[in-house]
Amino acid sequence: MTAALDLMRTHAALLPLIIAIVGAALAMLCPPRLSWGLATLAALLCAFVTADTSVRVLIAAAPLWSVAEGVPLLADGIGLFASPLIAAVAALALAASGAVLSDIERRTWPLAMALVLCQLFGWLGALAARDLAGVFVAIETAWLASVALLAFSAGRTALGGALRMLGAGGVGSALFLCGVGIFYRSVGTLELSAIATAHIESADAAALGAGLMLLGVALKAGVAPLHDWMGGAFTRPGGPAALVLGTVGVIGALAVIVRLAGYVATSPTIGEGVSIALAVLGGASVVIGSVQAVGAHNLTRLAAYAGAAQAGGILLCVALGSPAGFAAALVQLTALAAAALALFGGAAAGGVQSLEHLDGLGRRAPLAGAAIMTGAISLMGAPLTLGFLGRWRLVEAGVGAGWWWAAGAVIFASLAGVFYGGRLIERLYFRRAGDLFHGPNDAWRWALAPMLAASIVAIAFGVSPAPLLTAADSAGALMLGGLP
Amino acid sequence: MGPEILLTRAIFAAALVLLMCGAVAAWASNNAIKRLAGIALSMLGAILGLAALGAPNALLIAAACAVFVQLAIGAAVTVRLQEDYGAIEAPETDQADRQDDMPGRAP
Amino acid sequence: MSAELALLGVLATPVLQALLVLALQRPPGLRDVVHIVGALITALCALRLVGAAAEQESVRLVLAQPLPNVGLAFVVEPLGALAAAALSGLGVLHAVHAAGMVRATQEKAPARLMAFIALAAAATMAVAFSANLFTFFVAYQALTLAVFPLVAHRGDEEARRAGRTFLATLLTASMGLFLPAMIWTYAIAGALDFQPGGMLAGKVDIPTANILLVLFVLGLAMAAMPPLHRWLPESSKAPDPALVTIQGLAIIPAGGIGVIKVAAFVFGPALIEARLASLALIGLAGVGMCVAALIALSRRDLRERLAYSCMAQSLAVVMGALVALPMGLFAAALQIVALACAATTLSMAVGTSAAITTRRNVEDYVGLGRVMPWTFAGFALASASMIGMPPFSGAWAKLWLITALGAPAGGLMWAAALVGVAAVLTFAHLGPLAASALSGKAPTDAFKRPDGASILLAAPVILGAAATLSLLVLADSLARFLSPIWNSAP
Repeated sequence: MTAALDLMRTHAALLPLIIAIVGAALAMLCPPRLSWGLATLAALLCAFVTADTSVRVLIAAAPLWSVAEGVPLLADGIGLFASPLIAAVAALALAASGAVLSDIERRTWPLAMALVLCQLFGWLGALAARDLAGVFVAIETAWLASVALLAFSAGRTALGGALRMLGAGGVGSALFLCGVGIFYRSVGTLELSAIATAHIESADAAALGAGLMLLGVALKAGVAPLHDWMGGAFTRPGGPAALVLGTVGVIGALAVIVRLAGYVATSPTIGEGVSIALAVLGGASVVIGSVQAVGAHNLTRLAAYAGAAQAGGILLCVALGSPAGFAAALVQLTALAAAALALFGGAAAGGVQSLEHLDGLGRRAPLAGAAIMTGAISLMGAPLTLGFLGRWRLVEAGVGAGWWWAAGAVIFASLAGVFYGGRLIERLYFRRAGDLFHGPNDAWRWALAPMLAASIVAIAFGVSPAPLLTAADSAGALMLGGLP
Repeated sequence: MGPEILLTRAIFAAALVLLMCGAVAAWASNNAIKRLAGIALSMLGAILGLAALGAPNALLIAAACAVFVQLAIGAAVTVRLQEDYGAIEAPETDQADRQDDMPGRAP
Repeated sequence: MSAELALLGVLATPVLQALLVLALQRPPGLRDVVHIVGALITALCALRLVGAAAEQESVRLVLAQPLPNVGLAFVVEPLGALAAAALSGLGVLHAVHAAGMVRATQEKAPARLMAFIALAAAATMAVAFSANLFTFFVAYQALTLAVFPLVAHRGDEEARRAGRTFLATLLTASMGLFLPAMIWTYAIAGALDFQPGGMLAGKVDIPTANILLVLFVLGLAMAAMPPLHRWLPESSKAPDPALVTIQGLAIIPAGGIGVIKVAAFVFGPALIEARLASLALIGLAGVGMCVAALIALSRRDLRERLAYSCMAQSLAVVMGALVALPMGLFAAALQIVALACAATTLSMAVGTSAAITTRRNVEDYVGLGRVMPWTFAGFALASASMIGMPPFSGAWAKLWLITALGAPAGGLMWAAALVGVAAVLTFAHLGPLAASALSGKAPTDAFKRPDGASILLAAPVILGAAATLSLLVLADSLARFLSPIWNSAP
């Protein structure tokens, strides 16, 4: 057992990627239900391996080292923190998808499971890639897998959304590539670890290139106002598509933005320009996402827009360019993951599309109601929730850097959260249930329980978040201090 | 300014124009095939720009593969749209979805 | 019982009470006994803590450490102990009354009503004993969320609308105004712990102090400062037991406690730096008192009349707290006790008469005191306290308030005059009402419950009225008891 653990730790950088991609291949070959079980197991294994590394390095302060794998990989603070988060979210989403697979054709289940694991592979790869080319390949893998998941497993009503998603993603990829080209021309290298010490010919061009790269990924993360594709993708998806897109997809893309920003926003030559761009985009996303969430009539769209507002907060943290800012970004990312699990999981449990379906759901499906309520109060930024903790850390880091307006953005997002979160809670517990219950009614509905319970526990982590804060602080410090 | 630099800049400018035109088409077009064409155009512009800026071959190849996969998925989606809706224009498919959502009809 | 155990008890007992009430809904007698016993235990724990505060014992409880340098902490100090003892003592009467009310009115979902009343009590205790601004903010939000189901209890569209107004106003004010002020204070002072003498003393300049004061006071919408008072009349259609909680035992007292804590423990001597803002807020509170009392006069429904009357009394607390004198803080603290006694008694009396006679309008109260003498005796005594007639509690609180405002150091004769005008208007909307109820011709039509009010409904009203006499004997002792709060004040 110890020997196996040592072997696992020696190859900890590559192992999750192998597990994910091999798991995807095997899932394609399995019968439908078995493919679900296999995929969930593979994601759990990924989560275990990545979490083990993270705990050892970020909390237990073990030295970071790895063997050369023949594949260009680079472990850094953000990757170490975000990888177990994404893997855990993927495992929970996969487990929960067992309850909603019956919404889609049985013959597409293995394909759907394989595509989810491909997404996981892609985002983990983007967090571990050593150079920008590797990041690009990994992001495209994840993105195209999510488009295919939406298109081919969610029924005909999701085809329009998938096409919009593909179009937006294509634009994002083009912007990313253009940015890489300009960046490479100015900096002379694609290696992430070499950026800090590279001789930069033209700071403005390098900043432009970095900005275009971040813009390309922000488009895929659903950052407002680049999130036009989300409306179509989240309005009528069936099966596991909304669950996975809203959780794994958004968290993965945001984590990649944080990682890339860790290399470019902290560069003395180009950092200022990139920070300004991130700050403007972040502020816009907070405002636009919050306003759209207030006006949303569909729960999954509301969750997507609220996620865009949270994403804006993450960009603001990253724009600060300080270890405290990156630590705050990671805390916010965790809070967003928990809230997304709660809302999308609750929506799946109740079969909720429009907000009317929430009426009385708190009594019909208590766990789902509790999860949606917990997600709502976290998005409000209620004290003792993870959402409050993330916003507090942003304000603390912002005030420390003299960015008082960042506190204003946080307050605005919280106020909007009061409105749309309060609406959800009122419908859950203070309205009579409608005649029809749209959620899954068979025994497989219990597959949603781990996702819902985990989200409630995670949000309640805000009461005593010392390990999370230690890990986030270590990740931020490692990220900025770990560059040669 | 040497002719090589001028040529590079001209190619890059053309690449930017292709990228922007393709981006507008991919983002805003209601027709599925036009959207795919926009994707192809913008990615072509990006690849051209990469080549003009001297990016490594590995990146160019990766970009080309990405375009191929995007278009393959896009084509499959377009075919399915035609099969399921009998149309590939977004307003027509959205209208059909809205009719499906009306009360009394199966979702 | 040790003081630490008592502190834990005063916070945890109402929560346990709520859970048990929900779990033991049948038989109804068991539910009511649990509700009353829970309130009694809470009151006993609060009484123990008064002793601890009098002996200046150091009692602190830290439940969690959610942020660096900021814990979810509770501490025993004189103001919190006094408020907790008064509110929990009245809470026992309210628990008995609520048990009688749900039976008399055959209230739907009585267990849910009682459970949220208990949760509101827990949150109010947390507000009273909060050791820092963060804990206060958490308890304040919890109180808002605990009372929201009471406002929306009836479940109809009107109740839901009232609930939305309630929640939106209180949460928006706390998040949009109080929270930024709290963050700003943290940035200036580096900590959030309440300190006698003020955590901002000597650390804040004049513009910052003024802005902070406005943010804090308006952010505490529970104090019913205009223009963020709309939730109070909107919530007046809640069930009668809920109204007692809102007006007398939880929401309005919590707002008052918050304003006093901000004035004494956050600003302290720095309140002098915020002179401009405090004058403006005192003026706003004074005018608000008069206008609220005037609006109360125009309301025919007793519940709405009481709501505006309580608003006027709550603004007296704000005025006292902002005077920046020990006398003002003392007056504000006395006013919270007086308001709690009077508002609780009045709300219970109105509820009792509605349960027995279904009468809620002013014109229907004529002569009702002749057929419900105990209830309306309590109503009359509580009205006298609200008006500020000696020897009732309200008189002593207002006397100290006027003295503080009119003192040479205060220099606010105009504000003292406004308090006087408000007292006259309060007499106008409560005095004749009580008099006509007791002296008018007894009604002859049949009541909903011809056998009259049960002991559960009448006794709490009388005992609450008796409590309005408490300050007559306790005022001097309370001055000594509360003196540690302002010993470092200017």
